[in-house]
Amino acid sequence: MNAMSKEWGLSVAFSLFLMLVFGLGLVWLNIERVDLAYDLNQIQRDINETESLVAKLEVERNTLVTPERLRALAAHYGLGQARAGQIRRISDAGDVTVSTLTPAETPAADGKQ
Amino acid sequence: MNRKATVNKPQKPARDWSRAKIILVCSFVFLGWLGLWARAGYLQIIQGDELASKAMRQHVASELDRGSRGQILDRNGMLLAKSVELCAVYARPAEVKEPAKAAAILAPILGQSQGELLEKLTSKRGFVYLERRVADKTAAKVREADLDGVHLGVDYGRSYPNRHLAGQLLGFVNVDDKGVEGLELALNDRLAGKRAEYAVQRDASGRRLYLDAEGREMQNLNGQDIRLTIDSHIQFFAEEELAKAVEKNHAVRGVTMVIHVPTAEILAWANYPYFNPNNVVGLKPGAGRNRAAVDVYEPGSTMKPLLVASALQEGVVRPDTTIYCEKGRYSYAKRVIRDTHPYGDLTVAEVIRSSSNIGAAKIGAKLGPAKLFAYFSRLGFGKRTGLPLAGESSGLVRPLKQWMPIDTATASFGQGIGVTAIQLAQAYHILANDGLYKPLQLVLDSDQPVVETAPVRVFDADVARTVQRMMRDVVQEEGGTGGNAMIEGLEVGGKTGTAQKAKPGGGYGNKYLGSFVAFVPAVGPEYLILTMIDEPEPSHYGGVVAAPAVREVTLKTLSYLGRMPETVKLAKGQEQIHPVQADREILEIANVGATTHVDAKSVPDFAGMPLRRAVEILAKKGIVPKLEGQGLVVSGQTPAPGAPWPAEEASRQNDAGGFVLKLARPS
Repeated sequence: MNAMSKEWGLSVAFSLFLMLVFGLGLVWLNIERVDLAYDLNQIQRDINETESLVAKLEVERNTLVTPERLRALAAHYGLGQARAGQIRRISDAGDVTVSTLTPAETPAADGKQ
Repeated sequence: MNRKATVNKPQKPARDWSRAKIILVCSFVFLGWLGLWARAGYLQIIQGDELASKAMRQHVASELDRGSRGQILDRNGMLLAKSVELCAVYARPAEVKEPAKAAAILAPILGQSQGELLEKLTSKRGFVYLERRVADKTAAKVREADLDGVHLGVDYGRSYPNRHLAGQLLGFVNVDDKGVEGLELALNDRLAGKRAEYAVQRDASGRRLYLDAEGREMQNLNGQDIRLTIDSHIQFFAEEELAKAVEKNHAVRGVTMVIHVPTAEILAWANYPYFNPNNVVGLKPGAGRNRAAVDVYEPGSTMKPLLVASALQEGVVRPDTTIYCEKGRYSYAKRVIRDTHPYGDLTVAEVIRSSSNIGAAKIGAKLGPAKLFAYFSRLGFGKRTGLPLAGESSGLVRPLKQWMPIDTATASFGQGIGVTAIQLAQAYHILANDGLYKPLQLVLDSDQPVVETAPVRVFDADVARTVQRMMRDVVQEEGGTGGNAMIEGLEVGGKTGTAQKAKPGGGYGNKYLGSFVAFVPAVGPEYLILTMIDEPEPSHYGGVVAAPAVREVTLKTLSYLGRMPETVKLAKGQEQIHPVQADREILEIANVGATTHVDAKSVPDFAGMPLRRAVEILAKKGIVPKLEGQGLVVSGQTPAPGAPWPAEEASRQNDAGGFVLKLARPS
């Protein structure tokens, strides 16, 4: 009988101990979870701010390469539109490509063919 | 005895209360325990739902989120429109302690009057916007002012980095980032960010905590990006030349379009006067109007090639069919039709080249109203193009049964029928595309499923080519009305249009629409360029006011695309180079140059070397040579061969002056 009581007592004590541990663990997890949520919030804010900055910088970059500004810069550096006969594309093999827009066929407006 | 008696007297046994106490305590514990259980049961079972919902309201908040609006890009990925996060300045008037002082501080920062701000700051409302979409610098100043009750919030604004470029085509959005005009309106469903509602936990101070898997990042709420067929640079050229033409000819407005014929993609869509969608405050009515799609014009003589193509297709005329043009005055259906010159007999080709109204009226009469009307329909007149255009007009083509006899004649030379610029472009595209109808494209990545349909042929290919040749004569041949669009070294086709504008009260006044449609090159064209100049003065002829603009747009576009014609007459003093001969020479020289030994320690001999190779060698040494003379072959150099390489610093300081390559044409 005494042995049984001792076993019961130990079981109850162990159970209470486990409950205490689990309870504390649960509280700790909850605190960690909330802390993590705060961190996530902060990270999310940082991401949003960075994305916002990236968007503004992208607009700024595009503002710097608008045709209007490139034209002004070209004029500043003495560059201009290529004129006829000035464009040559030379490949590494030495092949030269001229304009691919060749004059059309000989006039022959003579009706249906 | 007494003592004995006392000793022997049996003692009254002590009452044992311990059991009762235990029972009592157990009872109390049991009752307490039972009470707790009862209370717990009451809270859980009876009041459970109500309390749970109350707790939910305390711990969980509903948050409405909206994704950002999609970008609009040109065909090369250049940004045309993008939403960016800006700041909104708002106030809670109840929290503002000194409204007058706050108004005085904010007025110069926000650019508003003190009175206006004071009115907002003393408002009885709980929340009031002081300014929306403010720039970061302004927001920083407001933050620095640190005024009670004045706060900064997040706001989204639409930015158009190219300012007025394609302004009317793009349109604009309202303060809620919703499309109001142009493509912003027409494609709003695709561009707009989606809305979503989230349940988020919040702590005691109300901060939102995203704890579950239903976080915002789980869904893509952002609107779709849209890539247009527009090329920013070609658009810029079109707008630049259109502006010049409108200003030079004292016109009120104009439209220019550039279309790539094989793909039917619209490369430029220019309206003038310009419209900057970044600044829509105090916008004048009509300033953001996309006139190329909305305004209806009588096209005038630009209708003639379409008429002739229809007549050729039906076989009622041949290109060499002679039409008598009545010496410039023709009475028909109780009206008088006039030409600018007293033409006699003209072939059909000459009717186009000379732009004879009488000739066109007679061809129209041969075709007949029913067939003419049918071709108008096939060419797309009287119906919308199907492009994503807000407020696009379907033009004005009266039902056939309402046509009077004179209508066939006037419609033949583009009067009495109303079309939009984009409809005219679509009709000419059929002619340019060898008679095949292909819908024009404005959006490259359309969300519409690609449906393979049988191509619709409006004209036979040979008919279309014949008319293309006739249009070539308009520009290339003497006496053609489009000579101002001529580009040496390249055959350009075109047709001028000079249409009298109808008065609001009926009849025709003294205002005109000058237009020009060009094919580049003339036969089998790759590019279609259309320009309309509205109400030019004093000259109003399409060949005078619009054709030069088309020529300049063509030259700039071809130069940008690296496709300039090779045999154009160069400026005075410059040597004309025949491309074939030049290319052969370059190839020969390139072969020689490839074997040239380059001594790394000293300057090599560049003589006889192709310019390209010499520049490559020098570039590897960080030297940018100065070029003297003309040609593609190096004939001499400074410093001389064998000399030590210029020091890097000296070379940098001297820049191009440090190394000179003399050029000559190969002998």
